[in-house]
Amino acid sequence: MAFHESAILDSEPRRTLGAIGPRLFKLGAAAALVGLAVAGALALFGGDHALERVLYAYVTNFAFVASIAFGALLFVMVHFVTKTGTITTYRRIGELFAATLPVLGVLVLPILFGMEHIYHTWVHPKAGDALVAAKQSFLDPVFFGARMVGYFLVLGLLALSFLRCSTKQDETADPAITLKLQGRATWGILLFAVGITFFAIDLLKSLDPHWFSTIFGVYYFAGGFMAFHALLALTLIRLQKRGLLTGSINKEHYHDIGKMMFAFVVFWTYIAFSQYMLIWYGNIPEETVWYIRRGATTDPDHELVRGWMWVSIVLLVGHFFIPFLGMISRYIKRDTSKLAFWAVWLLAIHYLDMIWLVRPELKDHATHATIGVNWVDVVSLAACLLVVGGVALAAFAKLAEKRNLIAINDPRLPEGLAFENI
Amino acid sequence: MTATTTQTETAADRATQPDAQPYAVLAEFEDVDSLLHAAMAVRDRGFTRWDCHTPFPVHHLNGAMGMRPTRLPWLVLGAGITGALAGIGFQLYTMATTIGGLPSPLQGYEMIISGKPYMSGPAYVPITFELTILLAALTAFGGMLLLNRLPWLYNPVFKSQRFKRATDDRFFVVIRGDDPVYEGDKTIEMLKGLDAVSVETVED
Repeated sequence: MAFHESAILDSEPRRTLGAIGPRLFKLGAAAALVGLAVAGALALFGGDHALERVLYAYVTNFAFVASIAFGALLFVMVHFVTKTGTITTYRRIGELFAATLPVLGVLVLPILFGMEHIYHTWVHPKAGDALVAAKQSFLDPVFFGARMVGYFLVLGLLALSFLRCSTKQDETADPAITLKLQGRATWGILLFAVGITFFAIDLLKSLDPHWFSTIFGVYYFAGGFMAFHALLALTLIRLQKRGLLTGSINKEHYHDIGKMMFAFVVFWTYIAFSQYMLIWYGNIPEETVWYIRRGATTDPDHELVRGWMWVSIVLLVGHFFIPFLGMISRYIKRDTSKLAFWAVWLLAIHYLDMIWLVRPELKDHATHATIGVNWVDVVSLAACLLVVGGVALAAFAKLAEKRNLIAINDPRLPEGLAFENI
Repeated sequence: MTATTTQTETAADRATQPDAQPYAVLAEFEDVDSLLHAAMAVRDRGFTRWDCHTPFPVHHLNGAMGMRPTRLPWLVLGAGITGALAGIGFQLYTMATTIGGLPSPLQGYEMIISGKPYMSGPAYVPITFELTILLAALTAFGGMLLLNRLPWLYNPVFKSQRFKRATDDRFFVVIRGDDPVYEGDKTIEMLKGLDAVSVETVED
């Protein structure tokens, strides 16, 4: 009978990465080194504004990878707060993603060293810039650096504590650990909400300290949470292809992950539109300028932003209309190959979203003229993805190496294994 | 399977005493596993007018009962599309249309609001969105009731004292007397053979 959960677990030949672990670690480390070399070479010999281009590409990729790790942390905490049965079967993957946060914290360093170039507008404010002057006490280089380290230290340790306690339960089978983590998740979510909001404001929104948007933190979170679920689906599919978790994860669980991907496609759109509509309706120059820089204008004087208009349209269509219609059916979410396609799609479009947030803000410090995109931007995006993604992959492999990829002694695991969508 | 004579006898009994056919047979089970086994057995014998009653949602019961996927999603999709089109249509008609020859009370109101064009996409989105959600949600709720033939205020199985435990700790399979495959004592015997704790008939 398939209804007996212990039989499902016994039928699984392997639950740890085993030999794949060291290989993934080497792959990640090698990718990071190659990426670092390429990015370094580009920054030195890439010609016009090369250092700024590389640093902006780095910020883009850092925002991309961090949003997924942050999304994983919330996913773990939401599981504990809502006492969800289903998530128990694949929560460990989320715990491992989230536990890469302290390592990602080290990757803040290039941003801190390059602060002068990335955040030139407020590191070296122009005389008489009233808006920046008003924000000067918050946008202070030292305070900024302390905050950046703080987000990863506090939320990273929180993520590590979830992974440690949950792994301990694998050995002790102590249900008290679940109760303890449920309590920790309640205040953890509050801490997370404040943390990711300020992180998004610091890392991305302060690229233009003149702009106002109170919804910006939620916008960043919505895309990241969606991308996390896409990466979770892809990871599970890959692991199952390698013969891991073959019994415990089935189409019911993929269906649930697919529903979360679909839900956060819609949530992102809701937030993105809320931000856009208020600014469009109010039509105040210091707010609309952010969208004008992304092509939302019919003014022929804005020739340089014409390319960004197409990116904006691709984002609207590709981040909402196409995945919304494509993922609406339950049959799509229950078919792993179709779900994998949409997972790749959503990760790609989230990456484009990060580019769209970061790159239009790159201006010449002296003339304040927009700097057009060239091959250096494209190559440095790929190189920096290797750096940040490689480090995250290596950290994941190291953390996962000796751990079970499923929380075998979680008291809610039987419920999760037997889960069925009605 | 017993000899065919038994079947003909039962059919004959039923023909002579049409009033003796009960409303339903009620079989009580102690746990989820025996309920699922019983449901699969009842399904495989070709019963169509029967149901399971459990104190909580039981995973895999749909499959064990051989239930077909619901048609509700198609109704909800249709209602959502209707809502979206109605939302856009009403706004286009009332905010941005002048139709030649129509009497003035039927014309749209072309008003400039906040300096925006008559036809402004972003301004139309909230109402389109809300109407889509409204119609889809109401259809999901009403369609669920309709497809389940609810609300159903009275069910003869409530007469059974044992059935009260269906909201507590027991699981029931209820086969209606008017099921085409229902065969009186033979069906009762079959249910007893499926580890039922008790089997009883309920009159209407």
